[in-house]
Amino acid sequence: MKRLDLILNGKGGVGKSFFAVNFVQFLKDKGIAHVAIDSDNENSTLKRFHPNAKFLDLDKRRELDSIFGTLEKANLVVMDCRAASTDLFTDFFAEIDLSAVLSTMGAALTLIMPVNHESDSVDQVQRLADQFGKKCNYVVVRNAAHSDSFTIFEACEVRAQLKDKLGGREIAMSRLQDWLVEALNAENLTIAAAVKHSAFSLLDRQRLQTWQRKLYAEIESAADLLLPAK
Amino acid sequence: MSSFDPTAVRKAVEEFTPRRPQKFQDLLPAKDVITELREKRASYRSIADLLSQHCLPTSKTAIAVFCHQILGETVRPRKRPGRKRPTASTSANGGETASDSVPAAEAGIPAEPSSNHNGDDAPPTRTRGPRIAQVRMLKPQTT
Repeated sequence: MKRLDLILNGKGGVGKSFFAVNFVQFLKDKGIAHVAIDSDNENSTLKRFHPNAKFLDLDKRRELDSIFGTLEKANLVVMDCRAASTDLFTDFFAEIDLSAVLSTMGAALTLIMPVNHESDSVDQVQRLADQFGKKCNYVVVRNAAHSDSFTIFEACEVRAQLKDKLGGREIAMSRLQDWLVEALNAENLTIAAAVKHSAFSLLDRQRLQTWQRKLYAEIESAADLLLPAK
Repeated sequence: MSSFDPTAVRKAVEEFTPRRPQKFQDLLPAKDVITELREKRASYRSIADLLSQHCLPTSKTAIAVFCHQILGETVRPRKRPGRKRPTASTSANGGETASDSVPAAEAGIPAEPSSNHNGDDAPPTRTRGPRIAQVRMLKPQTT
């Protein structure tokens, strides 16, 4: 079964692109064929770190069709959705009858939704779950970049709903030291490239590898929802 | 003019007519008519139209000011179709309160997606505009 992974949360700064960059790197490192799409026209972070990613302009409505055009040719499409695009996708999916399209294509949709300690990011998860229900799969990425407290998410109704009724999964993305994030950005390096780069000290390379290993283990724990079925 | 004549001046003063007409000079003769029309709930515009048709050209603004200043009508602030403050959700006796019966849209509250926990219902409706996060929290478990 084909898989369309949308990394989506209308709230900005929750770690969509950061996760996207590292998820795409995971796919590359594991030799998993995929097509990556960046849809953020203001901060095309995914394309900056992975220049071979396609770009899709969400302001051109017909370009959204190319998501499914790409999925026809590939088993896995990963799309980094820009902030404030939830309404756009819900309208688009309602317009095309998402379930029917996925069924025809033999594909499944997974919404990868980073959340943090803020209500807004959790509210977005709630909106998406309310909107799509059982029409898709859900993976929540607990992004600890800004805080390792998830009190609101842990006490909210949608978390239980995802877990108990919608078969959702949670994975953790731990905090990466600020100086490492800055150095990666300064050089436009993915972690896979940085661990071989002379600009990083031995210990920093070890920190990066440790962080990456943990994230990869988390991704693999939800592989059945993130990757195409074999 | 040889010398000041108080008697002549006094007479001139009595005959003097100010160049500027008295306020509402034109409308004062129609005071009773306007009062009666207002009692019949006539609008300022319709009063102005009626008087204009009968050789007393005036405007609705002039009628409004006349009604306020001469007839002593009180000015009520215009109701604006803005946000209503939601009242307490339950009354003291547990009965339905105004906020219970007022739809969110009428109360100026952005419509929230209806609960669709299983995803089997129709998609929730959505409005454009500001959207404030309203995370539904789990109810604390009672032992």
